[in-house]
This record gives sequence, structure tokens and C-alpha cells, in this order.
Amino acid sequence: MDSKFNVLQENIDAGICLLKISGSLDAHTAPILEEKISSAISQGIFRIIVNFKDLEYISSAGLGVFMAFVEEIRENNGDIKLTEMKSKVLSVFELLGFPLIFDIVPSDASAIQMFNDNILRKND
Amino acid sequence: MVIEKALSTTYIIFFSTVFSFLIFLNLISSAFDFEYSGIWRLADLLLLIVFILLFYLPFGKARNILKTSFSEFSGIFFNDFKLIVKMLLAFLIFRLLGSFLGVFSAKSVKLILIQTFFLGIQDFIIVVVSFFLVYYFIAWSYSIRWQRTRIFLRLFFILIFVFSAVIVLNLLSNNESESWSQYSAITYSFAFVGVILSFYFFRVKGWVTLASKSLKKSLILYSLISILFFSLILGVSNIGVKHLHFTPVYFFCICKFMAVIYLVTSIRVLYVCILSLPTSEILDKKIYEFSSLSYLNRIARNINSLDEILKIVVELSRNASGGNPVWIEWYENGKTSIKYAIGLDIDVLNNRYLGSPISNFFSNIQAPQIIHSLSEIGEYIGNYWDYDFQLNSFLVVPITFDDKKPGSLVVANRYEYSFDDELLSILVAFVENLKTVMENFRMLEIFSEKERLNQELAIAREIQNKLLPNKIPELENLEISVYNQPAEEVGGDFYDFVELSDGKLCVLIGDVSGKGMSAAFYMALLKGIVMSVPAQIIEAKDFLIEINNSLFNKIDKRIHLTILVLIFDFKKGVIEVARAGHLPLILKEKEVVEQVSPKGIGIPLVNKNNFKKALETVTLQIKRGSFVVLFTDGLTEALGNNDITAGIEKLKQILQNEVFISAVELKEKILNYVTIQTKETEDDMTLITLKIK
Repeated sequence: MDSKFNVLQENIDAGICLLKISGSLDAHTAPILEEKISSAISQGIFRIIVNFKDLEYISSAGLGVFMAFVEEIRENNGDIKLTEMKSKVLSVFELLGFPLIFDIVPSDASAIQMFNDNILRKND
Repeated sequence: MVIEKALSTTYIIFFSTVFSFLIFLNLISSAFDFEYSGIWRLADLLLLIVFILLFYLPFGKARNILKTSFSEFSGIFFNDFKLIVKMLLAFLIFRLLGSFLGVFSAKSVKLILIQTFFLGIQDFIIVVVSFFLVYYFIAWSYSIRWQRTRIFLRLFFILIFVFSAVIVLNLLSNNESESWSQYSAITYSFAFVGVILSFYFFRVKGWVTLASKSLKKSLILYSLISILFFSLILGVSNIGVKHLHFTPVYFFCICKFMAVIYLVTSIRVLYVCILSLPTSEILDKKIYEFSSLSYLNRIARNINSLDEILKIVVELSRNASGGNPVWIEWYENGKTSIKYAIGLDIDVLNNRYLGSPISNFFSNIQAPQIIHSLSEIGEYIGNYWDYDFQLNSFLVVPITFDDKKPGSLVVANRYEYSFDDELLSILVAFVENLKTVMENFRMLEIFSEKERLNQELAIAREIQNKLLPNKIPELENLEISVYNQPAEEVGGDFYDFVELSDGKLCVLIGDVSGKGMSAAFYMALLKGIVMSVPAQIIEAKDFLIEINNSLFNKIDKRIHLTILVLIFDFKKGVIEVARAGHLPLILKEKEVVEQVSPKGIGIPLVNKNNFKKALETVTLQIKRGSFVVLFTDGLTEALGNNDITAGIEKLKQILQNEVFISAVELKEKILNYVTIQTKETEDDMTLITLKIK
């Protein structure tokens, strides 16, 4: 298994942050992403796009990272959008029923558009 | 000492008794002025034979007494030598008293008797001294001999025996037993041969060179004294006085014989001592360095705390430096404190040294360094004469460990230019050893921490094993086979069989995200909830709703569970399937393989209503001969190389292509593919195969 995991952060514009993740996201690498998201939150950024284009593998522990923050983010008028997911990664999300919780969109541009149009999911 | 070990009390008592008898005979003969002939001569001879026998009795033991190392020998030799010198001193005192009384002895019988008594004691000392001289010499020679010198030692024994025989024969044939002149030529010629032999079997060089400097100094003193004393012994010419018939001439000759050999030996010892004295200081240092390092190595294994080893290093450093003040200072959180100090007042260090520019300078030293004088570092410490430490030269060895410097070893002296590189290298060696011990401590800590975690994991695994069903239900119309392999000792996989009312069987398979302790903990929670679910439960999805309700908003948000529930209702002939985010089940009916994946979200990701809304129940018909396969992601990841979809496809393929007639057989067939594809699974893996009979 490719255990290399990397996160590249890009601030799109005020209030939106793009995280490009690559490699494999599992129990060992999850804290890296967790730290990135929590540092964005601490800067007051609650609109987060996670680009999955180069992510090869995700384990159930990797999924937990998104659940950990979604509540706080949505309380602050923000959201997490997931983009450009490979089919084998998507199947993991689908199995768990994540499409019911998160917006999984084809591109970063459409995610930005959704934020600009203020299309946000709310906490249940 | 050699001799004390060889002699028994009985021996000493017997020896003294025989000798008292001799003195008694002498007193009688002087008092009554007997002619030394006939029966008296015979008695004298008998006594002599008894003495000679007594004399040689303990020699057999001498061989085994002194089995010592070369370096220890000098100490033993020195102690024995002291005793010999004391006895010689006693002999000379009695000799002088005897001679002094001899001046007046012609006038008074009483004085003659007293003189006889004194000379008797002198004789006794001569016997003992000659005995000791021979005995020591032989014992020493044994202790330091080599194989090739054994022959010379034997020759020496033969020489003494021949010498004894010659003297005894002379005693028998001569009337004038008191005359020394007739024996002197014999004694000195034998002694000459003895000296030559002694050069071969009594080596001096080895052990004298190895002796410490202080011991060498004592050896020089004592060899000078013994040269003087042995010369005096050789100078004593007449054996006794006129009336003292029963004098041990034999022993007097032996004593002279040995005195010659000892004289030469003492000169040899003196010679080697003087020659090797200048180099002995370096030798002493090296020996100290070596022995203290090996001592450190030896105790390092048994040391329990850092403080203990620091203390020992301070003490050893003090000894190595010849008693200078030594301390170890420790740097923690930017502050310097004194751990251990000897040889100086700790208050001086605390009040005047700590916080001073000198202390700051020392704390920044990175490599072992000698500061010969405070003026050397004047530019760093400013007006050094302001510091009233009464210490002027320093030797600083930083204790570096893991790129950090937790402390330093400092040796100080009140005089400038007190330290040399020699001492520095010894102290560096001590600190190296100290670092090894510190490293060992750290390893031990890591090890015990790991050990503790392992134990906790073992407990968790045991708990987990108890949580998983220990018995698979045996039903007449359902065959069940299970494979479960946890990763990292404790896994997050979960399965259970719950027998419901009306003969219904509920089969659960689940997975807690993550591994290890936390996964095991949530598994235990899940088990508790499952057990509390009432047996009257009707629908499969009620199980999941119940679990979601119990856990929502109550556990770490990063953790979630996926569960697949099947309820076999044999009366109705149906299987109800509900899924909460778990992998689908795979069903093989006749030749058709399909995956059954009712909609549903993982637990506890969403609240009660949303969970319920998303949940779907699929009802399957129970058909005989069908197979149902349940699994966790560990299996599909292993089969599909981390691609779950590919893993499921592979599993379907196996079910389609392989031939099997029982649930056990199917399980084995599937696991065969796992071992072919991956050697070790990284995730937990659970596989349940069911056959409807």
C-alpha cells in the first residue's frame, strides 16, 4: 500500500480553502489532514473544498476525518465539498452513505460555484 | 601471608615444645658444665633430626598456597618481607644482649644462665628465621615460576638437601661444634650455587615492574633494610658461647646460606625498583583507568538510577584526578544545577559559581576542554579575579546525549596548570561509559513502555475474544462457517449471532473504523447494545435504528461503525437484510451470483430521522442450496488490492467459478485467494459463509 500522503493547501479567495490530497488516507495519515482542516477552521475559514484527484486509497478511519469537523463547520455557515473523486474511492463513500451527508461534486470550479451560490448543507 | 596458611596450631605447639626442651638442655649443660660428648652428642643429633623433619613437613603445602596473579604478588612479597625484617631485628637484639652479658659471664654462674637463656631465644629465632627464609623463598618461587624453571627449583631442593647432609655429617664427625670457621667455606660455596640457581627460578622483573609507585617505594626501603640486616647476619661469626652445647649449628648454617641468597635477591629487587620507578606513575594511571573503566562497565548493568551512576562517576573522577574537587552540573530548562559535588563546599558552588560568567561559559562548552588558567578565558568571563572561588584551573567534559547536552563533568584545582591531557582522556572515557548507561536506561524505559502497551493490548484482545461468539449456532437448515483475523492484535471487526423468538436467527457483521484499543472499546459498546436489543424484535432494520439511537452524539465523531444485519425467518422462508454503511452481502442461488446492497448510512453519522429515512430492508426468499457470504473490508481490500469494488467483483468471480458443496469448503476456497494475493493483511478480516440446507 502506498502510505505516502500529502496535503496541498490553496486559499481560493476570502473564506474558501482548497485542500488537494494525494496518496492514501488511512488511520496513520488521517491526523495530517485533520491538522490542516483544524488550522483552517482556527483561521476562520469554514468553506473547505477537498480535491480527491490524486487520492489512491481511503480507509474507514480516513472517512472519519470529515465527520469530525462537519458539524462545527456547518454551524459556522460553512461546508465541506468533496471533488474529483476516483471511482474506487467514491465506492467507499457510497457504501457508507456519505453522499447523503456530503456534496460530492465533479470539479473544484463547481464546488466554488456552490459556495458562491450559498448552497450549503445544514446540520440535521 | 604465606606461612600462616601452611602451619597448623598443633604443628606450632609441637615445634615450640621441642625447642623448649632444647633450651632446657642447654641451661642444664651450662649450669653443670658437662662435656659435650657421648650421650649428649647423641641427644643433640636426635633433636636436630626432629627439627629437620619438622622443618620440611609444611613444604608440601607450599606448592598450592600461593596461587596468585603476577600483579598481586608484589603486595604479598612485601608483607612477608616485613615479617622477615622484624624477626631479623629481634634476632639481632637478642644477639647483642647475649654478647653484652658474655662480657660479665665469667664472673657469675647466674649471669651465665641468663646469657644462655638469651642465646637460647636467639637460637630459637635463628631456627624460625631460617625456616621462614627457606619456606618463603620456595613458596614465592612456586607462585611465580614458569614451567621451564621448575627444573631449577628442583635443583635448589637437591642443593639444600645435600647442604643439610654435609652439615649433619660434619656435626657427627667433629667435636668442636661451636666453631663456625669449619662450616663457613661449605656454607658459602653452597650459597654461591644457590644464588646462581635463584636467578633462574626467582624472577624479579615481572612483578616488580607491575607494582604501583607507592609499593615500589616501600620495596626500595625494605630491600635497603634487608640488605643491611642480611649483611649483619653474615657478619655474625661465632655461634654461641663455650657452654652452649646444644646450639642449632645446622640452622645457623641454613640461615647464613639463605641470607646470602636473600641479600642477592634484595639487591635485585632494589635494582629493578629503582629502574622502573620513573615509569610507574604512567603505569599506575593506566592501570587505574583500566580498572575503573572495567568497574564502571561491570556495575553499569546493575545500576537502577541515573543518580547512582552520576555519583559513581564523580567519585571515580576524583580518584583519577588525585583528589581534586569534582562536580557534575545539570542543565534543565535553561538553568544550571549541581547534581553531585565532592571535595568542595556545595554552598560555594551554589552561591558563587552558579550564575557566574564562568558557569555560563562552561555550560556552552561543546567538546572536552582543559582551562589551564582563568586568564585563558578572560575575554568571556571579564574580570576573573573578582571571582573568589579559590579555583583556578578546570577540566570540563560535556555529557552529550542525543544531540543534547544534559550536563557536564567538571574537575577543578586551586592552582593554575594542574591538568594534563592524560587525565582528560580518562575523564572522557568515564563520560563515554556514563552515556552508555544513560542509553541503556532509555532503552529500558522504551522497552517497559512497549511491554506495558503490549500487555494492555493482550488484555484488549482477550476481552475482544470474549465479545465474539465463542460458539457458532448449529441449526438443521443452516450451515455457518466463520473466519476472523484481527490486525494489530486487536481489531475492529465484529460479528454475532442472536437467536430471536419463533426460531428466528439474527446474523450481524460489522466493522468499527480504526484499529487497536479504541476499536475494541467501541466493539464492546456495540456488543452491549446488541445484547440489550429485545428478542421480540421484528425487523432487521429495527436493530440498526436501535444501535444508531444509542450511539448518536455519544462517541468520537471520527469513529463510525458499519453493520449488516440478516434475520433468517425459517417459518416464513425469508431472509431480511438491512445495511448500515457496511459492505453488501453476496448471494449464490443455483448458478446466479448477485450482490445484495440495501440502502443505509453508517452509524452514528446522522440523527434518528435521517438514519431511518435512508434505511431500506430487502427481503430474500430462502432457497435450499443457496450460499450467503458476509465479509468486512479487510477481505475485499486483500482480494481487490485496496479497491473495494474490485474486491467484490473478485469475490463474485470466485463464487461463480469455484466448486464447493459446503459453507466450510467455500470459506477455504475464498481464503486460498487471499493467501495467494497478499502475504499479510493490514486490516482486520472477517468472513462468514452460510449455506441454506
